[in-house]
Amino acid sequence: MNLDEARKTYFLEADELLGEMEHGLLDLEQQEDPREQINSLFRGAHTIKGNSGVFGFEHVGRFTHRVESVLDALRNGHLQVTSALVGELLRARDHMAELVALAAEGRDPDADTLARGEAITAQLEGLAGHSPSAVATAAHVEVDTGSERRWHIEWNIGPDMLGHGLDPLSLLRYLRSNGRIEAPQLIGSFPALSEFNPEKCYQSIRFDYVTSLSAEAVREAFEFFLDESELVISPDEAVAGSAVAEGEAMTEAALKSAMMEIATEGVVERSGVERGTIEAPKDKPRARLSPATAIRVDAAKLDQLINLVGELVIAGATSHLLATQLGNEQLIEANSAMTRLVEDIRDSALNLRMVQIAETFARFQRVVRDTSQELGKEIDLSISGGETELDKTVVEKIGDPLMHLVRNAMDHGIESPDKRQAAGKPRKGTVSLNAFHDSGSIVIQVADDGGGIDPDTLLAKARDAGVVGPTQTPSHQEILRLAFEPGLSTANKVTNLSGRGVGLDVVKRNIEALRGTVDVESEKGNGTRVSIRLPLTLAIIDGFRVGVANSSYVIPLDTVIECIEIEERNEAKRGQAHYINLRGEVLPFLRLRELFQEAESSRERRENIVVVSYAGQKAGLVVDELLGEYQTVIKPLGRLFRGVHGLSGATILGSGDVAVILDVPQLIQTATQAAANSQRHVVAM
Amino acid sequence: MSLNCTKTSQGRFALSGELDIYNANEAKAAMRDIVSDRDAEVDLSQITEIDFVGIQVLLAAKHEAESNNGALHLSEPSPVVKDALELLGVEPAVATPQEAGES
Repeated sequence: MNLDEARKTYFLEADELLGEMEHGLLDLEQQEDPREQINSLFRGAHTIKGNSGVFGFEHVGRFTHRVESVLDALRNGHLQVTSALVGELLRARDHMAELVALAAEGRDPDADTLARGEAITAQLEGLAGHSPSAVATAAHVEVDTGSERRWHIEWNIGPDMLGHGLDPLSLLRYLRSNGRIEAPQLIGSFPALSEFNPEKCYQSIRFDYVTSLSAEAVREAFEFFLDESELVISPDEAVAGSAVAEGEAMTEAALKSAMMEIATEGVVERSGVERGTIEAPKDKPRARLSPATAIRVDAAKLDQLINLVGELVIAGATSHLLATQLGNEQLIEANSAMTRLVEDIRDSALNLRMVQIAETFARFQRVVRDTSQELGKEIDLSISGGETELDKTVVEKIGDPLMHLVRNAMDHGIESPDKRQAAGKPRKGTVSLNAFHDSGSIVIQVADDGGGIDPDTLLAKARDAGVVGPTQTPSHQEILRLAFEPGLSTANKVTNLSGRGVGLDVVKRNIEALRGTVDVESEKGNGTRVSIRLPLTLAIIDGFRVGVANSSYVIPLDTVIECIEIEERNEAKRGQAHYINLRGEVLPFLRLRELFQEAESSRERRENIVVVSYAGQKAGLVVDELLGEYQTVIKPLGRLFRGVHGLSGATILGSGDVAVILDVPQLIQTATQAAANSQRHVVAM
Repeated sequence: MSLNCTKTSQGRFALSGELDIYNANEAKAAMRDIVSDRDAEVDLSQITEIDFVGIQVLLAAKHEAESNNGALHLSEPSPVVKDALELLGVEPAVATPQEAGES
């Protein structure tokens, strides 16, 4: 039974509206002219109220109604925007979200929740300076056009509507709560009971509706039912005529634009009409929702598409390989054309999943506002790079780590206003979120202009905890990275970092699970900046394929800088050295053959170094063969390989062989460490 | 969350519970049983929930009974049933017990 489709839409829409309301409220105080913002807040509340009425979610509707009333007073200029009011409205919004969530679970709010709602509205109405009833009446007048009107409504219910969970009765009840339903009539006939499908609708409803609601409001009430119904709403001739005469031509125009039909066409006869006749006026214009500019797609469907595209990429590679082996020019050409198309499809498919990070960032407005009040600090949030796009799956997983970092920055980064003033800084601290694209990754930065990390304290703590040996002297950068070490997040409570169980090591782990890295820069007294670097997508990468002995390895192409041939007499060839001199620069390197214990190649051949870089660090990987660029679909490694260092995934080659994808950041680290050790330098990491 | 149909005496049935889309098929089955008695009466006083689906099932059963030259009396509607019938303008179709006795 496809019962919940329409409800799902309701909840999705409610979530969206509530989200918009939250942003709108947070923005409200910053606006010079908040009128437009208030209008859209009002519209949001109004729509939620209306839809809740239609679906019979009374608690949501009733509470929202009172919130709407306050918004209305704001809109009419009876109220001014104040910080207290915005705070209370935010709380009200949260309560609405809670009620909607309860409705989604099919539960009624318990007494406790209701009492809280009551307290919020009381507070709100107190701030608004209205007694509840006065506010309520004011709101009613707003929706009303003032005078009562009579509408003829003919509603041919779509046969499948009941099966989709829409109950015409709940709509009628909603209409009745705003007016009078007169002379209702069911029209239609039933088949024999044996043929009767109880979930199918066999009836049409016709009634007169006397209400002071505007034409728009009446139409809106039917909004959810429109897709599946034929609806004719026509004004009662006599009354409508006088309304126009009274100068309500605008309402009339709005009515027409809403594609409602005028009663004079009244084709359908009143009595004994068979269902066939009722269905006849199909070609008449239907009342429509605003044209859709976006389509909601089930994420699972999208994933499936991406998966298929992934398979297509692999299949394309196979066919390309075969074509090359056959050496048939035409076949190769045809294959190249296909490869291009496959690449385009891949890009478009991945693009479908790309979303802007702005929405994720915007959530923090609220967090910063609430937390700064909690902490008694004055903190602004500045957001930049919100238009940067990244894969939806990454967005979903980045929320928690970001939350950790932002809270951390506010709690331990930004100082109290007095302390800031004493240090000659503005009383108001700033936490900034920034995002940008950088060589195939997205970089997200969380920065604050607070006290920064004191490297000496941190180092002392690290020594105490045994993370750093007493004789080791790590560099500034290495000390800062200690903040992300598991042993220290709780230990350095006395420093201005971490505490409250906000484990930065957890952040680091989460980011690494997304094939990302975390880096921190900080200057004592001037603030801290944490940079998260993440791959744009988790599904497909452009790789560079290399061969060692008989195996293939894939290096993510964006990390490859150049390839160099190792000269025969270069000391790196035989010696135990772990670094070479690359144009005057020290380049640590790793031999993949040793690392992965591949067989010694029997043929004497020249080795190559692939120079890779990640987040500013470079290293070389020594391989036997360079096999060229290769587009690959990442297949996760099985549990067995979870613990193996230096691997991030696997892929299937055109030939059907498996190649592992190298985890470049990790390899660079290993190489740097090995090189440093051989230079008898002490490295803390 | 269920619908029960009990036969109280010859030609007299009582429905109780929820007569809505969640029990659509049960409702249909119950009504088929009921209209197999040519002249049946259904007590609706124990219906706690009804929606458009429920109303349709009742009306379809009534239609079935009448097209077989029988009758189906819907009696003692509970407040929710009464309200729904009124809202759809089908109240007169429900026979009060007295009328049921007369016909």
